[in-house]
Amino acid sequence: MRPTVKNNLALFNPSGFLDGESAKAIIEPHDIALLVEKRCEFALISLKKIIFFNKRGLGIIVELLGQIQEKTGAIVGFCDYDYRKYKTILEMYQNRITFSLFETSEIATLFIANTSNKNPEEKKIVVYNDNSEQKNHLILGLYERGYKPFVPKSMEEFESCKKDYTYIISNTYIGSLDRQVQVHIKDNVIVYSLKNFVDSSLGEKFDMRYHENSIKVGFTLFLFNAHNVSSINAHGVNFLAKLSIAGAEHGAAVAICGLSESNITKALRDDLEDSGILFYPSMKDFFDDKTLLSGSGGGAVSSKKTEHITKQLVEILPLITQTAMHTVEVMTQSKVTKKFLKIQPLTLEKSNTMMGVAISFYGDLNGLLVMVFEESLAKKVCKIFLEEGENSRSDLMDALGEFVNIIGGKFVQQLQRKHCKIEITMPRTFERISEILQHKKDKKGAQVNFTVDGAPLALFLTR
Amino acid sequence: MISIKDLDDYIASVPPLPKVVRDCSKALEDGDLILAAEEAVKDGALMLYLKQLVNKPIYGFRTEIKDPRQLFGILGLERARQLLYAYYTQLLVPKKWEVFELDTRIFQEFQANLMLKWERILNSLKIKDPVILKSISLIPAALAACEAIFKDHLEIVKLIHSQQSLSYEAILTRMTGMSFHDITSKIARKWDLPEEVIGLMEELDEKEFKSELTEYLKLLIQYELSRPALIKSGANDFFEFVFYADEEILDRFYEIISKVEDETNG
Repeated sequence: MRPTVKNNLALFNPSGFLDGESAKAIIEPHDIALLVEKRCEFALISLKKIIFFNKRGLGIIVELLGQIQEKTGAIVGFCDYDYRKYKTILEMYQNRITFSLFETSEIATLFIANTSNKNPEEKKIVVYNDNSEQKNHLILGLYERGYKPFVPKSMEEFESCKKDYTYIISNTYIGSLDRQVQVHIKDNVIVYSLKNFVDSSLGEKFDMRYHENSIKVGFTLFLFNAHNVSSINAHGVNFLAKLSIAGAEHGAAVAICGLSESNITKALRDDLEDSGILFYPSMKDFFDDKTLLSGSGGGAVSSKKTEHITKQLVEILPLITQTAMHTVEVMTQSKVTKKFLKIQPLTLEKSNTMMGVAISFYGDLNGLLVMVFEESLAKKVCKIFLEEGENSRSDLMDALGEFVNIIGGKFVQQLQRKHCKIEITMPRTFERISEILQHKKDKKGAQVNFTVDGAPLALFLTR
Repeated sequence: MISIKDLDDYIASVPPLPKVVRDCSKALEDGDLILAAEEAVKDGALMLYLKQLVNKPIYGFRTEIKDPRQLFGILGLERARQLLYAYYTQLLVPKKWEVFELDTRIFQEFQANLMLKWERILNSLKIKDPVILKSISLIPAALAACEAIFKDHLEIVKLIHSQQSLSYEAILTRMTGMSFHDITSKIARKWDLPEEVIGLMEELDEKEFKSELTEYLKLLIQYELSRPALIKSGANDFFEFVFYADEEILDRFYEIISKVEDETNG
């Protein structure tokens, strides 16, 4: 089926039934070749005229879209669906969506970079999403393209104001953000969310490389939230115990909350405790344990060997630098000026107002990216992610982590276009710059220093 | 571009029903299968068409049906009438398809699938009206009409279709204010087909809910147009239906269709 290609958006418009048989005919090899040739940024399947779809049909389409993504680096997914279809897709994939969902193709068009865009600030856009990570991605994506979306604080506010907007963005997802076991970060603690029955499948679903790289980037506390777990068996316990023992070698601790007599036997609970796993009744109890949290400051790159920057990393440095500069420029509306580039250990002036974020990436290319911001600059780049009025330093750190995470996500996409597949860890934030690389201060990397309206910004790339 | 005059010219160019076909049809209306078979034998093309169609796997006959009397006998009155209607449509089919990448085999399979499944849907809904049963045979006429009308404007139509993501029906309606079912209805009138058939064709274009039956008909047409061969041919994006089918209708529709397909494949 030949897609319509407009403004770098390729849109497939199937009609009728999307099942295991018909799905195979929607995207054919020559269609993929066309998209490669046209260098489309987006490839979407419109569900507007689809009356019925089943999981098999959707699965085949998702697989074909994956091929497009691999060959073109395009953002792929579905658009033009109503709430019923949207809920059905979420249920089919149990909220683990690796593709993107746009309520309409017009909304998707807002996120296309290379498109003519007259008076973007005049477009009336409202954004609301329960998932804060998604919300932030959507907002940043829009800001980058010059739009000024309104972001209601609550669902009630969104419902009451949406009638005044031309573009209502609520049931939209930018894909490839969710992992098999859902994960988020809070106060520099990686929180994995478990649900249903926890058994040997946890080992299959759990992204071990992601976990190892999180340790590498300096995370030392990992919390498993088991509030939505119905029961856990010996295989699930074994996996968590092994994870805890392996992490201990690097000074990482594993905790679990939400387990009670109703979902774990005493013997299994003892096994978990024997392996060093800490038990908390609830998330709140865990985060109230300030003694534990105060000791969570591992430095980035805790591998024992000192590995310096490689030739491959130097080759991608311009790409990272441009991505970071561009994103900072968009968010601050200020020019970012490069001061110097040196291969050296991370060298920063002593300051109490500097804060850092580290992200590790792995896959076809392994490395660690550290960005250090002066506090006033951090506030400026994170303005859109923060509530109006006073915000705590901890809020600012979270927002800054999210900001660097977005830069990382864009970097992943750009590398994918060059057929280089990588994944990134959650951002590890550092309130004090002395914490960064605390054990490996002699580790060499490429350091690029910038100024933004006189405020310093440093980017450090190493292995 | 395409004008109302072009459409009128097209309708005028539609051949009248041959005498043999009218006589065969009359014999079937009178309930005389033997006479119908004798009339059909006089038209080689009609017999060839009927044989090709009934020997398709979907009809499930284990041995090849060759003898005209046997053919009409096995089919029975209702199916024979339905197939004769399908032959009417065949009169409109071009030798070479250019707008859609179709051929005789795919087109006939489309017809056969529609007819057999429509029969099963009506059985399931306990509708015994023979006019409604045979009316489905005319649906493919819309495809043939589209091919004939758009053939001389192929380049521009393809361009509009690919750039604006409009269905062929939407393109025709925007240009002339008419839908393919309007054209099919006109052809049906030219062939003196019953008003009930014409009425059902016209209901397909209604922009509001008419009946459950119309919803089943639209679902069936769209289901058959979602087959890989028809998606590849470009015919998937043909009609511009507005659906009102609720989950209950959809579930029931899928249940009936799955049963037919399981029987055919198994």
